[in-house]
Amino acid sequence: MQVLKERGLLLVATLSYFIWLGHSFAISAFLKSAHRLFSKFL
Amino acid sequence: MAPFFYLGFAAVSAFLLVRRFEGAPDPAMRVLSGLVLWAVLYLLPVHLAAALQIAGWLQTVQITPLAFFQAAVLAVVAVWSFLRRTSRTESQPTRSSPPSPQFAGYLVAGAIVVGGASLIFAAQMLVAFPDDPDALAYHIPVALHWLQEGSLRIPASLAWEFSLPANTEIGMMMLLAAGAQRFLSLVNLLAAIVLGLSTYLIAKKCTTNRLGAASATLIALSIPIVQFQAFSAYIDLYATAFLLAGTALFIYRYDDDLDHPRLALARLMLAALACGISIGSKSTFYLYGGVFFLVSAAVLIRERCTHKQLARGLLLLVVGLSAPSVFWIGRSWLTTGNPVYPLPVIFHGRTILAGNPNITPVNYEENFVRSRAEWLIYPWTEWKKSPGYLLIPYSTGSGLGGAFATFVPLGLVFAVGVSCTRGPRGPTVLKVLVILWWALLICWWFGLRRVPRFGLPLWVLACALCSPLLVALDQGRSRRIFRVLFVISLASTCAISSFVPLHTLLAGLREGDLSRSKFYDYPKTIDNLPAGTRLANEAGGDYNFVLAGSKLTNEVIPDFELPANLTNTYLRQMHADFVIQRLDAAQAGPSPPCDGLELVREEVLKVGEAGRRDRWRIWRVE
Repeated sequence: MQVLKERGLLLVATLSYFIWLGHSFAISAFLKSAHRLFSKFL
Repeated sequence: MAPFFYLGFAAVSAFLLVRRFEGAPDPAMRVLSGLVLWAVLYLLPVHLAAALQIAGWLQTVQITPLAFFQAAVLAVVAVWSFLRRTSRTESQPTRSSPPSPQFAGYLVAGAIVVGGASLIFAAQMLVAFPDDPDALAYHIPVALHWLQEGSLRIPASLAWEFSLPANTEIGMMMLLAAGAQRFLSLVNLLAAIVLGLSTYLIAKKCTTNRLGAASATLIALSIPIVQFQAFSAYIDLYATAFLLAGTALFIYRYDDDLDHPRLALARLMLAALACGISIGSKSTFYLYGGVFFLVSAAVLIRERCTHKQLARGLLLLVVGLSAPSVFWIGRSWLTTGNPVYPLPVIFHGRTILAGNPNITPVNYEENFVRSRAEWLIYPWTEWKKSPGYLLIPYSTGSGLGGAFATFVPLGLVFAVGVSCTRGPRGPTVLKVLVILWWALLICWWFGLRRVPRFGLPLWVLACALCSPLLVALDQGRSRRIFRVLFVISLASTCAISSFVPLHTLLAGLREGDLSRSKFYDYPKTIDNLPAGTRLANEAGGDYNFVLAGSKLTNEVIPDFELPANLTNTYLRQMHADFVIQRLDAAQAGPSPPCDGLELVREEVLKVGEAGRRDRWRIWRVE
């Protein structure tokens, strides 16, 4: 039971991270800006 | 040099006092006590001198006499410390040294990630100047205004920008006086250390596990609002840090072998002083300070049978809360009759005491969410209406980060579960803090207009409260996955946050021109005006500090003090020498801002990388 609870919590935390990764405007903005910046420098 | 002596003497006094008074075996508690005491020691003499100046007993507030006063305080503390050492050497109990923390690679990796991002922010200070809107519009201008006027009084215009409680700006005033305008954020770097230590101590109380507490602290330090404010001239971080320091000191007042009741009272006093600093730093913290007072008083009343120090405890609480904040309240009351000016006092829709009800616009939250329901998913979206040229929605006022989104909302639910399921044997501090957190969230929602940075104490406290979850995951069978997730979530947040200062750093190095006029994009002529020249700022709020010039010798009449219709009579009354106007380059209208002005210089400057051009006009008042 304890193991199930721990794995459940870890699963929710992992999902939470991937939801953030997929939905946060910070990620898309970062990728766009990083591309823009480095293409200017390189 | 006087500001450095002033701050240095206060630091040595704090060190001596803590060495004598604070018997905590935990170095985090000793350092936290020392930093709080240092802040108290450098704030109170300025409050005292400013009060005497307003009362007419001092002509001006100057830093050199304050440094001498601080030296006298240090001499007294040194003598007292020496006498106390000789009388206490034999009676001091031997304390057992705390067990050394276990080595945890994932925490080291996390610390390197957060520390690396901080280093990029710090490196940016070498090529940049403070550039956040509110900081340039009034936080730094108020510090400079005090320095130039030699007074901390509210000006005759009663502008709300110059009437706010401003403990953070006192540190900035010292740094401006020392000529360190690039490094004004050092005040907030101190706050970030205080915040980190406080989060660690509160989290440790919730779990009794050092590794869990350290993980929670790293998450708190990875919050973009915290990272950006730590390297800015904003004030929310400073107020938050000292509020949490007060909370940490309060919950530890009977810990760490503090069997001597006088030492417990000293820590209670220090807790109240820390909270008082936060009340005197930002008016939104009146709410948090009020809650701190009510909860601490309730705890002291509840403990009256065990510790029998109710009256003394309550007295110290009131004195401690008032000492670093009463100056600002008294100043507002004497000038306007409203002790909380510029906040209005409104009861049942009727204004009892006048103020400015629109300091923060009612719809300000629309900058962060498209509908109110979106707050429920804000940690995962981090939307921002105007993210700026780089499009990144992280700044001094927005963004919670990936590590926060991954662990904190879940951790809060877990903390509620732990508090409920363990019943009366569960950790009391965790239970009380969880209840308080939800109560404060309601206050933030209804009372603080849902501005993310106004809720900074909540977001940081939430990190501390998620430490039971972090411990549970770290002690589980899948701890390796947890550790990888922990480091990756910190790394992705820090990569995005540090991209903004990295961009500024690279742009600065590529341009090669690190001058102030280039950084802020204003005409160099302004730096070469004779000292004491008075400029009326018609260039916009962002230039209230900028127009002071590279040597800070120009006196700027800020945009918010200028009337809507500028007149020559007003300019003469205010002894303005020039009016500085900034227009879009396409706007070529020749008309001056008012009659009786002569155009002495016109310049078109390219602004930033967005390709905008500004037309600057310098008008002499005739």
